[in-house]
Amino acid sequence: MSALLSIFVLGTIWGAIYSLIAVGFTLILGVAGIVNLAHGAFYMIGAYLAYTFMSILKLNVVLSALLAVAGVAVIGMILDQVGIRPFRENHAYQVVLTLIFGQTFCRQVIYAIYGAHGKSVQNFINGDIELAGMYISYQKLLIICAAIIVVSLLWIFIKKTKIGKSISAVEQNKVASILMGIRYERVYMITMGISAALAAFAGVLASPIIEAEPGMSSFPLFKAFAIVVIGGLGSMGGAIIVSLLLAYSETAVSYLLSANYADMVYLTVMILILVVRPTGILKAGRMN
Amino acid sequence: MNTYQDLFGLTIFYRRLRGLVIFSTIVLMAPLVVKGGYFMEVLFLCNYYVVLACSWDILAYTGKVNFGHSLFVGAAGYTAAVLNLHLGWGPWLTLPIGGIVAGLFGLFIGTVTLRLRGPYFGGVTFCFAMLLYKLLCVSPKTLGGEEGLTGVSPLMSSLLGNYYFSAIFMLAVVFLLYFVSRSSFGIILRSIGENETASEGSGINTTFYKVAAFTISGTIAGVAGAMYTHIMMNASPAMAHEALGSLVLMMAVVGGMASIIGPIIGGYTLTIINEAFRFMGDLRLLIYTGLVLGMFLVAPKGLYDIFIRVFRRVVVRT
Repeated sequence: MSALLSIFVLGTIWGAIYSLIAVGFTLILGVAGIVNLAHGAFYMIGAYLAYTFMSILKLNVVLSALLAVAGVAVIGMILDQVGIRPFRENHAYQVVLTLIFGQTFCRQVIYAIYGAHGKSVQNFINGDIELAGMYISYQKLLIICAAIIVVSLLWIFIKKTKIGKSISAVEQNKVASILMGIRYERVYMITMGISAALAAFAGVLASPIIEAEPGMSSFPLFKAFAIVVIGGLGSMGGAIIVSLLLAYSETAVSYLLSANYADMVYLTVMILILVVRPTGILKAGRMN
Repeated sequence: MNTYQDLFGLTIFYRRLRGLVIFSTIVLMAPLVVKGGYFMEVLFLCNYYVVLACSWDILAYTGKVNFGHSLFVGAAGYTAAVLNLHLGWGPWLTLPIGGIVAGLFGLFIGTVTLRLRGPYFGGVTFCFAMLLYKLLCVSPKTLGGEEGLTGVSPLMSSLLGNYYFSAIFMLAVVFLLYFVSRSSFGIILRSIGENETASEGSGINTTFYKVAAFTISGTIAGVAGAMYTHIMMNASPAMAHEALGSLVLMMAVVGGMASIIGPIIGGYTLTIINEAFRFMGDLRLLIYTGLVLGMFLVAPKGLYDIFIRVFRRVVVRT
């Protein structure tokens, strides 16, 4: 029973973190068609900035999280405006640029600044709560609650605000939205900023439970890609559901077998989905 | 680039063939000028990376970007090492078998993903390379685990022999690609890259050609990986790491995608830059990746494109 509960709690935490990463990844993919391979780097920079503000500069938790997220959002917008903007329609160029920027350049910058050793952030809050004979720290509850709040806020932002509506308009039909007077370049920039901010927030939340190191950008990226393929390209609901399922199955596999095999889960499922139902489990059509 | 070819028609064909002949003479004569083990080692690495970049480039004709080229290198390298260590087979058997194994990987991944449009292919190649890396890291003792396999028998007895083997292999690949790119097969690949829907409309089975290109690309990279294993006398999980895949991609892209000359320029430039900054110590990779990013932002079509433009301006003026 307690094993089941601990799988559930750990799975929910990672599910929450994966959802934040995958929602950002699928958002920019759906709106601008960019397969953003720098997404893992945004996650990494988020974690490192949280370390910088909290452990080195000793700032307040909320303030340092906000600063880290804002900093990464600005990096994302600059990447979008400087690097991607001149080649808006050339998707091959975009993936290569984001790969070189995120997976090699950012990693080397982080390595040059912080070194190769893992950095860990202290707990956001201390103390724990007893539940069914098991102690769950406030830390874990905080991560889960924060992720739920951020995803709900994003949902409200896209459905209710003017900018959010223009984002979904550009996603649905770019030409029609241009004719309606939407400034699509600004929409792309804001979307990239939001997407980067979500990845960075995931990095901030993960920073106390993992060690930040320069190679950490790869696996979130692969997982985000696999989640998006399984859930359906551009589908946010699919991304959240698949993130949770993936996290639970990974936690279960690493509990029952070994943590080394946990990464095989999503790859196997992704291959199966590609063979059987390439549009993803939730979404029908729209493969281009 | 294409307009330039159209403009001069066959002339450029012979001019480029002449360029390749001059290039191969220089490569074969290099050991006469370059002395010393370290420089030979660097030149060997250049040859190895040029082979990888050229083989990567075959698929680039169709406009598809492969992020997991290291998958082929790792798979073939380990095949060669295992066959050599456990069965005692020599390089003349393990090199082709390594190539075939890598080609089968290409066939499988290509069949699953290349029939789909969209970003599936790139992402899946990325994931597969990392999966193989992870698998090799946790592999049982027969595969060496994290340290990899050591004690593979050397390819040739001397450094010069290794250099000539890699040089001749590289030149063979370059010339093969050169003639393939001018055959109907190459033209079909290019037409898929220009407009896939139109090619399909013209009755071309685009999936077949894309998978075939990917398989050839994998086979050549596999032979190169097996060669590397034999020359370095070990196989390590790092051979399958996506960092190698990204490096090969950067070489081809910085040199100029979907051209024969581009990957050659990229392979030599990046390998030499990488070695030249060794004195910088820890900052070497930062400067290196910064330079690559800068080159890519300044010349997104590659260094080859810039050479062509400069060349054309000079020719037009005189």
